[in-house]
Amino acid sequence: MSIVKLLKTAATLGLGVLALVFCLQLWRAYVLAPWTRDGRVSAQVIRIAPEVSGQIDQLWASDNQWVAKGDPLYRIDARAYRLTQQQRTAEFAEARSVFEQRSAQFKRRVQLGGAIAREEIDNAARDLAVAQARLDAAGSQLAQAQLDLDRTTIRAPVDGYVTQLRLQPGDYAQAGTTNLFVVDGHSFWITGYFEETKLPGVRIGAAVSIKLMGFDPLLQGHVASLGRGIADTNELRNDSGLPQVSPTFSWIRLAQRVPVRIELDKVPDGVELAAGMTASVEVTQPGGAPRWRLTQWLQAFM
Amino acid sequence: MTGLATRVLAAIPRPWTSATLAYVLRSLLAAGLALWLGLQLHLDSPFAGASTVLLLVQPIQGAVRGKGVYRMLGTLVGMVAAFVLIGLFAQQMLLFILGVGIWLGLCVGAMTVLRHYQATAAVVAGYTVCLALGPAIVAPEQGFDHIITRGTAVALGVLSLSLVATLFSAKTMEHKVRSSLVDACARSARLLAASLVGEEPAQLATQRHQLAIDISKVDDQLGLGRGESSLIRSRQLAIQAGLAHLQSAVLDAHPEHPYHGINPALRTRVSTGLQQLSAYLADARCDFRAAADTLEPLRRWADARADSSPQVRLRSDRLDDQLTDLGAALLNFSSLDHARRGPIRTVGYHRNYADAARNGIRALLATLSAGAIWYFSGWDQGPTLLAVLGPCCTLVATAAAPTQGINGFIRGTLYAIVAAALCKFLLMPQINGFPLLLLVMAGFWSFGIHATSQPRHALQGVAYLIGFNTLVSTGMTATYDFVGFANQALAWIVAMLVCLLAFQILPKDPARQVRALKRALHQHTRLLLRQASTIDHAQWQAKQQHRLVTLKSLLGADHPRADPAGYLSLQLSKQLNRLQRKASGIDPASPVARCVQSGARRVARYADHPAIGAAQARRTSRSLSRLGAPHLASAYQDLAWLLEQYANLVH
Amino acid sequence: MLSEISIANLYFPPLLVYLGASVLAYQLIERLSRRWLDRAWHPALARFFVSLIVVSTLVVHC
Repeated sequence: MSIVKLLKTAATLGLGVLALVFCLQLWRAYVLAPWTRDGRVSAQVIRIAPEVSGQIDQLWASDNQWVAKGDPLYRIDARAYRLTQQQRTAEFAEARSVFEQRSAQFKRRVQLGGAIAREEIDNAARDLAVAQARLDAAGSQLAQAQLDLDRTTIRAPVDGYVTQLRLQPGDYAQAGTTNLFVVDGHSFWITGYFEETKLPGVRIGAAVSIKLMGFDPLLQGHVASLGRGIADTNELRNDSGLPQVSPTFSWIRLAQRVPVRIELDKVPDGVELAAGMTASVEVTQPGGAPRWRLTQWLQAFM
Repeated sequence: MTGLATRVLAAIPRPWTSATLAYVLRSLLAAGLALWLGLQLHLDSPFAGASTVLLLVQPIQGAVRGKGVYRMLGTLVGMVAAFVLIGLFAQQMLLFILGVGIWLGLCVGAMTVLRHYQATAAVVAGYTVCLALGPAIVAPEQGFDHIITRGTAVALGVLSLSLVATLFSAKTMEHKVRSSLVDACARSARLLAASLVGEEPAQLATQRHQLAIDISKVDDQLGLGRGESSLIRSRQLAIQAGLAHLQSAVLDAHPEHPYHGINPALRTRVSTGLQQLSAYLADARCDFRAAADTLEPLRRWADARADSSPQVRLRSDRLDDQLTDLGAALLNFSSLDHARRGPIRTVGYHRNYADAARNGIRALLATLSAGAIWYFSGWDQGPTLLAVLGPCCTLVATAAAPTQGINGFIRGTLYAIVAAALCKFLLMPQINGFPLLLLVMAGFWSFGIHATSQPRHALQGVAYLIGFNTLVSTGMTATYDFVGFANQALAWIVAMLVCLLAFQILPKDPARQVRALKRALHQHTRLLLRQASTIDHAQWQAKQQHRLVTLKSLLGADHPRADPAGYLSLQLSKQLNRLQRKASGIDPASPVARCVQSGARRVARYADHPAIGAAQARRTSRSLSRLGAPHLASAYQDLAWLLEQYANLVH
Repeated sequence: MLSEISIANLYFPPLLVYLGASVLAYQLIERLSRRWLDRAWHPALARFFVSLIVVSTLVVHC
C-alpha cells in the first residue's frame, strides 16, 4: 500500500519535473529569445529651409510626392533678387569701367615715364589696384546676387518623398526656417527595442526577419549596430550640477529596452515603408527550429 | 536555559495552528502571486489584486472558486453601473453621491433577497461602484482608468487565488454534502419511526426542530459545493428538491396524535422498517437508490394493509405521504450516484423584501452621510470614505449582529493602522527587492489570514487585512508619506463610525424579523386558502417550510414549538392537495363532484375568516356523507378541524 | 513570433492562439487519461502539470 502511495507521489512529482523542463524551454523560446513586438521603421528626414526669404510664388511639389535629387520643389518670388542682381550687374559694370579707365591711365603714365613725376605713376598704380579690388568686390557681389537669385528655386537634396508639406503659394518663406521635409527614400532601416535581457542573443550581423503590422510578407535584414546609450532618470542634474538620485527604487527590477539598428536587405514587392510603422522583429538564431507553424498556417488560411 | 527558551518560544503568538497552517500558507502564496503579477504587469495599484485575494480567502476550495467567479461577475456589473453613473453625473457631486448611494442600496437590497453566491455578486456590484467612483468624483476625467484598474485588480486576485486553491487544496465538499445528506435521511427515518411508535411529543418536537435546521444547512453546503464539484453543480436542483421532500416529511407534525387508529402491528412493522433503513443509511457504503427501493415495498405493504374506515384511511394517507416524501427525497439524492430520471418537484425560498428594503435604505443613508461629511469638510479623503464605507456597510448587512460586526471591523482596522505604520515606516525602508518585501508582508498578512479561519475573529481579520494592505499601498516604488498615511487611517475610522451610526439609526432588529416571518406565514396561509385550487402546492410548501425553518433558527432551541401556525398551514396545504387529488378522480358532472367544488369555493371565499371556513367545510362534509362519499367527507371533516385550530391560533 | 493574426482588426499575439489550441488539446488528453490522473497523488496538481506540458510542447515544437 505504502509503495503504491510512494509510486503515485513519485509519478506526480516526475510529471512536475517534466513540466518544469518544458516550461524552461518555453521560457527560453518566448522570454529569452531575441524577438520583440516593439520595432519601428525609421528613416532619415531632411529638413528643408530656404536660404533666402520671400513670398512663395510657385509650388511644384505636392504632399507625399516622390522627388528625385535636384528636382525643384518651390520657388520664392525672384523679382527683388533679380533687381538686386541687375543692380549688382550695373555696379560691376561701373567698377569695370573705373578699372578700365584706371588701367588706361596707368598705362599712359607709364609711357610718359620720364616726363612726369615718379609719384604720379605710383599714384596711378595705386588707383588701378583700388579699381581692381572694387571690380573684384563688385564681381563677387554680382555672383552673390546671382546665387540668391538661383536660390529662389528650392530643389530636392536627395531622392525621397516630400512629407509634411504645409505650404501654399503666397506663404512667406523665412531664410533658415524649415518649411518642408523630405524623407530619404533610400535610408529606411528598422529600430528594434530589445529588452536588455534579450541582448545576448542579438549579435551584430545576425540575420533578422521583420514582420510589418500591415503587410504580410516578411522583410529580411541584419543587425547593423546596437544603441550604446539610453537616458537614466537618476542622471538628471540639479542647479548645482549634482545628479538627482531617487532614494527608492522599484521592488522588482524592470529590464530597460535598448534600440537596435537593423538594416534592411530585402524588401518584398508590394511592401510600402513609412517611417514610424510598427514591426515585429525576430533575430534568427543559428540552428533554431522553425516555430509558430500553427499561426503561420492559420495566417495562410485566413 | 532550554526550558526558558521553550517557554519564551511558546509565549510568542503564532499566526497558525497545525490545522490552519496549510490554509495560511496557501493564502500567502496566492496573495504573493497577485502582488507579484500586479507589479510585473505595471498596474496602477499593484496591491489591489492582493487585497482581493485577502478578501476572498476561505478554507474551503469550493467557496473560493464559487465566490471568485461570482465576485468577478459582480465586479463586471458594478463596472457597467459605474460607467453609467459617470456618464450621467460627471462633475455634479451631489447627484453623483446620490446615485452611488441608490445603487449601493439597490445592491444591498438584492443581496438580502438573493441566496448563496448571487448575494456575493450583488454585494460586490455595489461596492465596486464605491471603490471605483470615489476618486472619479474628484477627477472625472480619470474615471475610466479607475474603473478599469478596479476590474483588473479583481480579475487578478480571483485568478491567483483560484489557481492556488485548485492546485493546493483538496476537494472536500462532495464528501461533506453526501455525508450530511445521509445523516439527514437517517435521522428523518428515525424520527418517523419514533413518531410511529408514539414517542413523547415534546422530545419529538426537539428532535424535529434540530433536524429541520440541519436539513436547511445542507443547502448552504450545496452552495459551497457548487464551486468545487461539477457533479454537485449539475445535480443541485435535484438535491434541493430532495431536501424539500425531506423537510416536508420532517415538518409533517399533526397537532393531535397523528396515527391514532392505525393498526398497532402495522405501525410497529413500518417503524421497524424505517429503523432498519436508518441503520442501513448509517452504513458507510450505502446507496440512496437502494434505500429508496427498500422503502417503496414497505409503503405499498402499509398501504395495502391499511384499514378502510374513513377516519383511519385519512391517517394512513398521511403516513403514506410521509413515506412517499422520504422515498422521493432518497430518489432525488440518488442523483449523486446515478443519472437522474423523472421530473423533480418545484422548490421555492422565502425572500424577505421588507428586510431588503430596510438594508438598502440603511446603505443609502450611510452613503449620503459620508457624502455630507465629505461635502462640508472638503476633506481630500472623501474617496477613501466612500471606498471603506461601501464594503463595510454591505458585508455586515446580513450578519446576525451587525453592530458587533462593525465593532470587529473597527478593532481590526486599529490593528491594521498600527501594523501598517510599523511595516511602512520602520521595516520597508530597511529592505529592497521583492523577496524581502514579500517576506515582510507575509509576516503581517499571516495574522489576519489566521484570524479569518476563526469564526469569532473573521470580520476583524478581514478588516485588518484590507486595512493593512490599503494603508501600506505597495506601489512600484516605496513612498513614505506620513501625512497621507495618517489622513487615510483617520478616514478609515471615520467611515466605519459613519457605518456604525447608520446601524444605530436603522438597527437590525431580530424581533422585527421574527414578527415579519410570522406575518408572512399567516399571509401565505390565507393566500393558500384563497387559491387552493390553482396554487402550486409543492412550491408553496417549500417556501413555507423555508419560512418555518428560518423562524426556528431565529428563535433558537428554546422554542421548539413556538410556531404552530406554520405546521398547521403545512398540514392544510397537504390536506387541500389530497382533497384535490381525490376530487379529480370523480366524474365532474356527478353531485359529489359538484358538492366538492362548491365546498372548495366556500372555503376559498372565507380565506380571511378561517372559523367561517371551518364551518363551511363541516357543512360540505355533512352533505358529502349524505351523498355517500364517506372518504371525502372525513377529509373535509379533517380540513374543518385544521381550519378551526388555525382560527383559534389567529385569534 | 512574427505570425500575428488579426481578426476584425484586433491583433492576437500568437501565444493566445497557442493557448486556445492547447486548451482543446488538454481537454482531449484529460478526457483520455482521466482515470490515471484521478489516481495520482494530487489530481489537481497532476492536471496542472499536464496542462503546462501541453502548452509548452505546443508553443516550442509546433
